[in-house]
Amino acid sequence: MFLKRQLHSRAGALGLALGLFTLTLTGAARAQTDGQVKNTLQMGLDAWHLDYSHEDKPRQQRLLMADNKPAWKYREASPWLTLQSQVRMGTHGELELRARANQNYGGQIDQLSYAHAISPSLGLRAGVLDFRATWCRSHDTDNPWVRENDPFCTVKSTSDATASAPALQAYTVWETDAYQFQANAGLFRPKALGYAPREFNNLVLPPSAHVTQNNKQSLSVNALNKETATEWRLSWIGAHQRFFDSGLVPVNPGFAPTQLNFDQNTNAYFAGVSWPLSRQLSARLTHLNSASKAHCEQFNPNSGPACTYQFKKSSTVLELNYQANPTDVLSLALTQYPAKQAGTWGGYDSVYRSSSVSWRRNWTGDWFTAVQVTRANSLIRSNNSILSYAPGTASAWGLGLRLGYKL
Amino acid sequence: MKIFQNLIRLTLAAAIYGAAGVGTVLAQGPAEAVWHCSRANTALSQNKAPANEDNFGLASSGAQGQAIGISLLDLIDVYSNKVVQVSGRPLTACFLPGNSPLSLAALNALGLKAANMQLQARKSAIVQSKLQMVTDEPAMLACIAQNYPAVGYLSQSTETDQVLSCF
Repeated sequence: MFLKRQLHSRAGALGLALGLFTLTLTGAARAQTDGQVKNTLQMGLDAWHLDYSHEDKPRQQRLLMADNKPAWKYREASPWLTLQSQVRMGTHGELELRARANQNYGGQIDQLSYAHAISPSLGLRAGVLDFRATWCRSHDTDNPWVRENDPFCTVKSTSDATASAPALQAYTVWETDAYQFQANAGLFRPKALGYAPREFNNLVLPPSAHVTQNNKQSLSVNALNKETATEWRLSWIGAHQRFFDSGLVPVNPGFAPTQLNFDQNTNAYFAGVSWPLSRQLSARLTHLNSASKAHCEQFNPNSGPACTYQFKKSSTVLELNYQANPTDVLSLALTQYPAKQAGTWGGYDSVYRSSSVSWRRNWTGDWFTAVQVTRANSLIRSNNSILSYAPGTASAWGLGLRLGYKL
Repeated sequence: MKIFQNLIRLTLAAAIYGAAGVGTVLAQGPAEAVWHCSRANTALSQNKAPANEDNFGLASSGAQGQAIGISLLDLIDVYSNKVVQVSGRPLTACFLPGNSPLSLAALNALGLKAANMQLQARKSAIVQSKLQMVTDEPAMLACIAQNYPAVGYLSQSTETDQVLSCF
């Protein structure tokens, strides 16, 4: 019964991160005096009105709306903030902090790192880092959405595996006549510094289990056509994770329970293209595919066949953005997110679809507002797993309002 | 008959509204852009760049009270997402979204595209840029003032304690 899909906590990591956060702010305050620091703080209030086709919570959870497994007690109106600080450290170095807090994610350090530019075309980063694999806009100051549409950007249990972690990363920039390229490669260790000691992709581990290995690698390449303003991104994140469960796990019915090692490999691929359709209208298409395969090493020879586990999830988002003028942006997004689990503990097959429209306006005086309407549908094609997903469809409407201020 | 009169009134109202709209557009005319820079700060510019900085574009800090010394090539470089340093500090480039007439006036002349900048300014960029998008002219002025050293463009020449015309 140890496989259960839900949020996992990073409470231990948060303490350490907050300590580092305080240290950084102290350093930033010192640097502020000579103009070497730059801070961008955004904060505000989000309000959601949600209307579900079904009353039962498991069906509602499959619709990935704003109340999906919140880190804080869900409230229709909730505060949020993002903070970005950059501190110059000489001519080649920079300390960067990115943090956010909202009811879906709680408090989170997305980046706390030192970057050293060896030259304008080559640099290194160390610390808590973002993979820079996706086009999520959590910290952007022109995000047109109250809540983005890609589950890998907005649903914590889905995005944790591609979220930040302690890492070493090298980056490079080069140009040709027509293109500007950027690329990075990184080694990530989510367990380091106590940042995410129990992160295990989409699985939540029982108290008797502890992660013995969590190693990730990533590569990203970004190409921008300077003539057409068309941008491409290809990324890969590979993960090898293991946990040891000291409890007695009933792997196979009718066989003895056992302690076990659970060994999992995950590959996630991101592809994105963004292109202008006119001076005011632009489109972007993104696809992220994540596939995990796992097996058990069972300690009791009488526990039956070794367990297997496969999990696939992918999201495809088509988005149109119409910049009516410098202050108003209208957006439309269509999302599809199928997820499939199979293996010893049974499986399920589901697909989530949504369509959203939004209007963001930047008011004078650094205030901004956004209005978003989202229609979501979920179909559970089959389910013989331990999860309480009743086969069938469910749908929901959401109306979101954001009031924000940028400092 | 009454319907006919109402139709005429409606047509006249629409014509006046339309003319006013065209008039507004004509009154705006083609936008002109005046490049603005941070005012040089001697105290900060004393942090000299090391001798081995030749890999980075280097603009000059300028004399106290005058604009930081930058050239058109520096402008093209910094808005093309290349690192340009002034006294060892990276130059920040402030810009308006691509469909702004002011942006078109400022950037087209240099062969630059604001649409590229919008993409390069994203926080998800693999290498963080020094491009900063703003939504109106007061925000542009604030962007230049708050990010020493910085450049941007306004529709008319403006002078404050921190900002003045570059050229």
